[in-house]
This record gives sequence, C-alpha cells and structure tokens, in this order.
Amino acid sequence: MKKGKWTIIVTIGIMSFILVLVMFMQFKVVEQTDIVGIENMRDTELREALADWKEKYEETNKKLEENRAKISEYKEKISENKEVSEILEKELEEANIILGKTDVEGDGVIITLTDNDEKTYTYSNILDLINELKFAGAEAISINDIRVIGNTYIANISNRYIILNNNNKITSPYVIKAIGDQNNMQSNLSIKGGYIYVLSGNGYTINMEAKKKIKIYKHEGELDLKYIEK
Amino acid sequence: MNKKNVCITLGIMCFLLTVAIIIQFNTIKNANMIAGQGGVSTELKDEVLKWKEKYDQTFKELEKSEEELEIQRESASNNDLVSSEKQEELKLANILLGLTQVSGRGTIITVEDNKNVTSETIGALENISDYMVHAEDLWMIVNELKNARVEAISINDERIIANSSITCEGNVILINGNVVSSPFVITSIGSPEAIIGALDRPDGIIDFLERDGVIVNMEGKEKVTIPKYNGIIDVKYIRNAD
Amino acid sequence: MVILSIIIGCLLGVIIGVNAPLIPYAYSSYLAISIIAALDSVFGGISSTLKGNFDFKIFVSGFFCNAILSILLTYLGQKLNVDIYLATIVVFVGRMFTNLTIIRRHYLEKWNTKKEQNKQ
Repeated sequence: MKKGKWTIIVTIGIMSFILVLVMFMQFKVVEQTDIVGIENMRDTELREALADWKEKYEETNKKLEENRAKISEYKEKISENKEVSEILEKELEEANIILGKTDVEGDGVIITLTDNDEKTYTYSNILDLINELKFAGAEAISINDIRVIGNTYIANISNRYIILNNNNKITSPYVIKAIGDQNNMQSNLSIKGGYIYVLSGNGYTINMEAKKKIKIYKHEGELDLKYIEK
Repeated sequence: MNKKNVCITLGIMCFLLTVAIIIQFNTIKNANMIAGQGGVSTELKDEVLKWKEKYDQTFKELEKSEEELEIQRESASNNDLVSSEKQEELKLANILLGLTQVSGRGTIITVEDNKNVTSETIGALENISDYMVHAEDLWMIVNELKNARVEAISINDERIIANSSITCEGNVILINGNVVSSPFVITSIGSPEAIIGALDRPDGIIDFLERDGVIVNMEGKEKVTIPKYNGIIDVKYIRNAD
Repeated sequence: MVILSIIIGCLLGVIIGVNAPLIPYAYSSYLAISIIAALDSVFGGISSTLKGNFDFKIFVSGFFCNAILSILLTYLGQKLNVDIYLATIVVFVGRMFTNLTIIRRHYLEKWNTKKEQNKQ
C-alpha cells in the first residue's frame, strides 16, 4: 500500500476517534448537569448545592480513610500472625453503639410533652417528633428512657396510653431525650413551621431544653432475623 | 474613487468597527459584573459538577474498600474460632444496620398520588392534597410495618435505616436526604401474612389512605430484594457511657 | 480499509470518552458547537465521495477549521452578547440536510438503475 493511502487511513481514523471522543465527553457533562439539576438554579441554590456535595465528599472520604486504616491494621496483624479478635471487637463495639445495644451519653436536647386539658398526645404526634429529630441529625433517641432503635414502633392503645414495641406502656408526660447536634436540633424544631412552633401554637404543652451529658440507656431485648436470607 | 479615498474610507471603517466592538465588550463585561450573571454562575456550576464527580469517585472507592475489608476479615479469622464468631456477629450487625443488600419473603406496597382527579372533579368540601401521598402517610406505613415485625424496609431504592427520616420539603418528599417521588414502592421483608393482616384490616392504614383517595396496592411475594443504604452512618456526638 | 480505521477510531473514542474526566462546565458550550461543525464536515465528505470529487486535504482542513471557527464565533458572540452560535447551528445543520439529500438521491438513483438493468 502506498504511503499516501496510509496517511489517509490513519488521519481519518484519528479524526473519527477525536469526534466520537469529544461527543461522549459532551454527553457525560450534559448528563451530570441534568442529574444535579444545575441548569436552572440561581446563585444561592448553586452555593447550597456546592456545600452539599462538598460535605458528602468529605464524609465519604473520611469513611474511606477509616476503612483503609482498618485494612492495613488487619494486614499487619495477619502478617505477624497475631490475634485479630481485638480489631474485630473494636469494629463490633462501634456497630453496637449505633445499633443501640449499649448505654450512651452525649450532648443533646430533652423535649417534654405533657397532656393538658385541651390536647392529648397521640402516637402520630410522637412519631412526627422522632422523625423531625432524626432529620435534624439525632444519633440516639429515647422516650421515657426506652431506647428508640431501628424497629421501634409506636401505637395508641387507648386514649391515655401509648405503647412502644408491644410491651412498653407509657403515658404523659413523655420525656424524649435526643443526643446529637444541639444547635441543629433546636433550630429545626423551634423555627416557624417546626414541630415545637406548630404544636405550641395549637395549644399543646411542650418544652425543650438543651443539656450536656444526656444519658440514654441501651435497648433491652434481642435483635434477631428470621426472614432475611443469610 | 481613487486609491487615496479608498484607503481613507477603509481606515475609517476599520476604526469605527474596532471602536464599536471594544465598546460592546466593555458594556457586556460591566453588565455581567453588576448582574452577577454569566461568569459567576458558570464558575459555581463548574464547581458543583467537579465536587459531585469527586464524591462519585470516592464513593466507588469506598465500596471497593468495604469489599476488601470483608476479605481481610475473612482471611484473618480463618484459623481462629473466637474471631470467626465475632466476624459472624459483625456480619449480623451490618445486616441490622442496613449496610448490606438483603432478600427474603415479604411484601411490596405501592402508593401513588391519584392523578385522575383535578380541582374540578372533586367536591367543594374536599381538598386535592388529600389525594396525594404525604410524608406522614409514608412514615405511618413504615411504623405499621415495624409493628408487623418486618426486618428491612426500602422506599423506591432508599433503604430505611434506624436514623432515616421522611420529610416534606415544599412539594417534594425527601428520604435520607434524597428526593423521592410518586409512585412510592415500599418493599419490606417479613411474614407476608402478618404484614397484610396488620395493614389491610378495616380502619387500618391502607383503609385510611384509600378513603382519602390515594391509590394503594399491596401484594405478598416469595422473594423481594432490598438495596443497601447508600450513605455513610457516622456518629459524632454519642459515646459509650462510663 | 478506510472504513476499518473509521470503526476502530470510533470504538476507541467511545471507550475513552466514557472514562474520560469531566470537562469544565464553561467549555461545554464550545464543545457542543464544534461537534456540530465537525459533523457537517463529515456529511460533506461523504456526499463529495459519492459525487466523485472528494479531496482529502479539503476534507481534513474543513473538519478542523470549521470546528475552530465555530468556537471562535461562539466566544465572540458571548463577549458581544449576540447569540452568534445560533447562526452557525442554522448553517451547519442546513448544510447537513443538503448533503443528506445528495446522498439519498445518489442511492435512490443507483437503486433505480439497478431495477432497470434487472428488468432488461
């Protein structure tokens, strides 16, 4: 084949490569733009979105580094033939704290709900409060010293009693302790439209105080799985 | 026209053209600076996309590191009975926390906004927002599911873990901080009979929603799959009590 | 042979394009217009090949020059606050349609002549 023909072939190959490459890069940018929805955002929304993604990145990065540290710890122990049950013990402890199997303490808020002559609290009021607390970043919650964990549920069984987890009967006043970011929790509940604002406006008796070193007790009872396939 | 005139005319035209272009450049530049449009917005948009990409990459690496961690744990506790037991406990803990994908017998409940009604077709005393699904409806369903002892729940691919919240932000519903929209597919693992019995009874939550006009569908399944939680569980404020 | 190199080039482009890093958002508008310009060149190349007067140098130079010119015009348009890029889109897409018509006619005629030949 003549040299001329080769030049043509190679050049056309390069050109199609560049064209397709550039098209796909553009596709990617447009896709990401759509996903994040930034086309129509104003400056303030953009700054919020920026802060959001930065935070997500930092959280994920931190967890990544923790994992990497754990991996090298394991590798070290293995290479030295030492006991790894210590590391496992530590990991298990961390998991148990989050699951609610241990007594915990920290700074947070205490919210007291009291029935008065006009308004009584129902299970949905309490559910609502728990939901808002979780949204505001509460890491551990208890109602009348009963720990609220993943499968805790609340139901009315009569006008005066509310039941938790099928065998805990509680009644007014309901003392809800939450450990977490105090400022976040307080502002989320007290601002206009927040839980405390709305309920006190409707005639309910509700009170919130910030407190340091709140103690929340562990969940009593076993956590077992029957339906999840292992 | 002789050459001299042509040159002069051309020179004047070039001059005018250049002046006009430069004036326009400056006008637009100033307008952009005052309105804060154009330049600033594109920079911000750029930053947002950049950080999102960083986050996406880091998240992928995190998943890989989780897998490697699992491998390390396995190989580390191979010869050690005590460690093996602890490893099993840790696995169980991770399942309970919602960090793994799980499957088993369960139910799928679908709730969606009733799109067939408009402000004209409903009665004068009714409110069109009754026909839509609200955040409260969702967490009441979640509560009832927990009452029926389900072991895992997800709504539209968002795993519901212990600290998940379901809130309304204006017109949209946020679960775990992510926007979720109708139709809502609520998957749960547990005894289908117990779940259907608890939710579908007269005056139960499904009855309550249907009376409001929301469209509800529920069926038991031999096998459902629930995705893992897509975020990071981190504790900053609690520590073990002394 | 030429077709083979086109296919290989495209495949490589897809693979690398999907895995390439994200380009800055600000440049995405320039990239878009240069893609349209390049596509117009490609169509022009195809139709001139069919007409028999394909000139390699014109093709390659047109490909890159169109892309560069359209980027410059878009940039100028942004500075002057005149949406020049709209006009470039109209011209390039218009030419694409013209070339497409030529290609289509060529193949239809070929098909017709074949039919005539088979009849005889």
